[in-house]
Amino acid sequence: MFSNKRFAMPAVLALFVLLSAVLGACSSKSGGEASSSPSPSAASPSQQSQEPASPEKKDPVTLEISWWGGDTRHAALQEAFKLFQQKYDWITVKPTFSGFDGYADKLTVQLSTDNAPDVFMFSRALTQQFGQSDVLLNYYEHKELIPALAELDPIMQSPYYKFGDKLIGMPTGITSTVLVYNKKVFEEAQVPVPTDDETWLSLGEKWSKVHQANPKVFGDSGWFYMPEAYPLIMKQLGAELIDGASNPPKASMHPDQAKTVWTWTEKLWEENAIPRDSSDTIGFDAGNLASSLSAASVIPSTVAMTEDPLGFATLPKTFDGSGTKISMPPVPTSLWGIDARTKHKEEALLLVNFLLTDKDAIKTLKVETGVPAVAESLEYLSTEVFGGTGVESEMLDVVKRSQQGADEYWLPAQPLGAPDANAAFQTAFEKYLFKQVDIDGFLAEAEKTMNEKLQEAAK
Amino acid sequence: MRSSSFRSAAATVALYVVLSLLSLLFVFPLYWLVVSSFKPLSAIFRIPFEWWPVDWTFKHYKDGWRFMGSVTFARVYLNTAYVTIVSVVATVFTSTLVAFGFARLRFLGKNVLFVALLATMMLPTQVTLVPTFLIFDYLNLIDTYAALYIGAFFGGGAFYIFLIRQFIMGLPFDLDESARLDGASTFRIYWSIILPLCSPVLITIVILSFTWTYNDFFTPLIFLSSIEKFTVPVAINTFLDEAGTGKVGVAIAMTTLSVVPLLAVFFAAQRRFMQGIATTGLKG
Amino acid sequence: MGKTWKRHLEGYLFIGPWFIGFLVFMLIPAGWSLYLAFTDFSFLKPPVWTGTENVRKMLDSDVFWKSLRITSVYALLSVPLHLGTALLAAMALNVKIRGIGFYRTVFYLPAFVSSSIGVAIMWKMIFSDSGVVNALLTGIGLDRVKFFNSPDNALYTLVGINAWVLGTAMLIFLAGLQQIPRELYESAKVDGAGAVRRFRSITLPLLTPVILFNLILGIINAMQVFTNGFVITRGGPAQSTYFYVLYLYEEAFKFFRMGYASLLAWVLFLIVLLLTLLTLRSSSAWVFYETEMKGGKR
Repeated sequence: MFSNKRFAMPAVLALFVLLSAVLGACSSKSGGEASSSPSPSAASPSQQSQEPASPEKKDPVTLEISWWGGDTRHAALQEAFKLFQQKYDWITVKPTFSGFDGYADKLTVQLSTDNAPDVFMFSRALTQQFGQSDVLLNYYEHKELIPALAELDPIMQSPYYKFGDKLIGMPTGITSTVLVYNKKVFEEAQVPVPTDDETWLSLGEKWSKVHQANPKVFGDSGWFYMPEAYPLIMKQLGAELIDGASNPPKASMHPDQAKTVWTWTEKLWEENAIPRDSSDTIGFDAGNLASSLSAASVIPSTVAMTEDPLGFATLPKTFDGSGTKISMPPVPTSLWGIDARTKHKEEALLLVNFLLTDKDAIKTLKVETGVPAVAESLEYLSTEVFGGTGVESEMLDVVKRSQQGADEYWLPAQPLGAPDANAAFQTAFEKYLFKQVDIDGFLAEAEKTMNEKLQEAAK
Repeated sequence: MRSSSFRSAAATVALYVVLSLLSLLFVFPLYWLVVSSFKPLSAIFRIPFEWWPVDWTFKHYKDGWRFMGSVTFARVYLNTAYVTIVSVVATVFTSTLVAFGFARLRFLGKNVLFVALLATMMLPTQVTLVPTFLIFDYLNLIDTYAALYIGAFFGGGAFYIFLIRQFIMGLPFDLDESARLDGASTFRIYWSIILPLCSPVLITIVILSFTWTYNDFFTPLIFLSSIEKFTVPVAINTFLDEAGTGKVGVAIAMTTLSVVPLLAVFFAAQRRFMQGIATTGLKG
Repeated sequence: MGKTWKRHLEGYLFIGPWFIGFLVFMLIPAGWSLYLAFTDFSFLKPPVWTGTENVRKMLDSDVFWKSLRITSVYALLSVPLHLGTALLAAMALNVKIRGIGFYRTVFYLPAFVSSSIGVAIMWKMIFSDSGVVNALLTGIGLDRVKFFNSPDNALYTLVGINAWVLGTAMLIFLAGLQQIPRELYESAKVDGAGAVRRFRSITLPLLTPVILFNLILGIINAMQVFTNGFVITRGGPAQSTYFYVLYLYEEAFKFFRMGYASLLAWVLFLIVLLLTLLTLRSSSAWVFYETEMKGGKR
């Protein structure tokens, strides 16, 4: 049949395909190394006060590391790895990264099948899930190889970093939830911009006034969706949603305080000062947002999306000006985890430490993975790299300010089952939001379903 | 005579009008993408929608093409072309082979296996991900191009096999029988008689497998790690940070760019539709 | 006896590529996930057998029934809509007029971009309160409609969007129409059959194998709807678009309950299998394979 011309084309294609298949299967991992020859950068030999003693053995080692992010983060990290490889010349870093979508799913599958990179970035929402197994390395067992740990330990006593007694995540950077506002909108409405001394009531008033001046603008797009803001407000009114200390952990909706908050919210919804169920692309980029509760770490990308000047303030520390001033401590933007099964524990720890403390690394990374967690690095970045100007400086500044001025720093309890409980709250809340139930129905259902989830997890 | 040609002319005009109106509906998303790709990021989400960019920028395309610097989008296109072409060719060959078996041959367990074939489309892939990953790992396929096109060598998937099977079953048995009487082997019947008569569905398979392999995000995401092996959807995704922040403009621009080869392939392939199939020559 | 043995072998040789792949890449993972369905598996620790615990939990769960209901409604509405519009489009585009290739490409366009990130953003914007659709509605004097931000309307909006991606089904119908020999139409015309008669007696019957295909695929895909519910509505608002596979996905990857998710997958599998078998069973009544015509003049 090959004599017939009609078959020449398919035959050639088939041959091509077969050859390619064989070649493709042969180009396995070893063939695809991203070999980045360390380029002589203008890095001055940096004085490291926190440098551990180099390990004795010098057999060549390849470290795999993965993270998610946008392209600026990818570039910054790869630059930082070049510096690392210059300094520790027996280590080659093989990076891989992706956008946000699908990253966590892939990481979970990789960890599950013992195929994970040696070092990987993971979300603070997953710490508790990961902690329930032995798959992540416990940093406490290797303190001597990661000097940064000693300084950071006090801020890492939270479920974002630890599971039980194990420390399984080192921060890639820290962040706080802050208030981002559009200066131009406030100016045009002739309303004073939010300050660090706002209360929730006074903030709400400002939203109302801005909206009255310009009906197209809203105060915020839905602050109560964040798992951290609503519990904070309740705490400021003296009520804790989840009592993590009791056994099993218990959820209480505290109807009196809750109604204070929701009555206030209803009023704002009525005035349209904040949108109830509007879908108009609410964002700074759409030009119809006056302010937003936002993680400080996304400030640079938020600024890039709009042409209007943005300003930053800390979250209100009280609801109406009375009572204890309560703020939340900074949380990790994301975490570096190390696979406990890695054959290169020392090198992995060296890398994490390097990213946290090395001055040249900090200079390269800037705020791409969050605000530097180590105080000295933050100082260095703030004064010598940014020189106090630019949006990154403002970001560092507002994170610093969010750690000042409060009487108490508090994080909501996150016992086992907290993700399910939070999701249950969300479901009940949406019924209330879309007027499928009234406030009492919402609070009753939220309390019931949250407790169901907490009890189930405690079994 | 005159009235019928007038009627058919009027019908044709009416058809053009209806098609053109509907086309607006179908073109709109591409239009949105193209137009947005030239707007600065701050303008993309502006309300009301800007039908024509007020400010123009090529920055998204430049940033997108540059990709990682050491690995440009040209490389990404090359990777995608490679994987896609191998997949398409392998799929066409193997799926027709298998479909012929199901459509024309009789063998033990055929009906059960046919249901099994359909059943492979019914189990959500989320739950077979971990064992599949392990199998691929065992076969040393992780982080290889082969992981992406290996499925194509095993029939390409139930969709194509089922589709071709339906088509083959629409062809009269007489063809096979007369060929058989002439002494043709089964393979000969498959290759020389049935296959050529399947050209409409083969064109369809080419278009569909090309589009789906090209646009496949999940498989390369899970199985590839080396950046220089990334395909188009995965590469575009690396520009996007959490919840839609990041370089949305670049993602839109590169998506727009990535549609061009798809359009070309589709347009070229569907032209062959016009020729239709050779008449079901019962002669000889 | 030797002859039949050869016939079986020949059959298996032809389906061989698929069969081998099925055994290695399908059967093993499927079997594994069936086992997982009766365990507690959190990815990072070995699975723990829990017997029928997951089944009890599933039957007690409100969300299970709710998501099943939402998915069924979606399938019931979107399958006929999607198929009907695809068939109409294919017929309109089967005409041999100039520029038809252009129109075919345009109608297929959505299928190129439907999986891209930009499209999800675009839908949200188009259907937002001051988006294009509402602008049109108010332009002709109607009230604004809340689409994705209303629990009552979000699901139907998704059904509508699904019809827009008719490209694939349309293409398959086109191929099916192309395969109908022209001579049948010609001899029918000579016999004096009108357009409607030709459609009913020639087109429709000969299209039935393809209609069956699109129907079964439509059911399978509709029951497993996920992407738009994930990227556009995230299952909301108020869980009104909380599709079954979305529920499955969250149980697996958000709450790390892979054992339970595996059970959910198998339950869906059984449901879809049942629906498919019913459809196949019914097909002997209305699907016409030319293969079955024995002799006789057409």
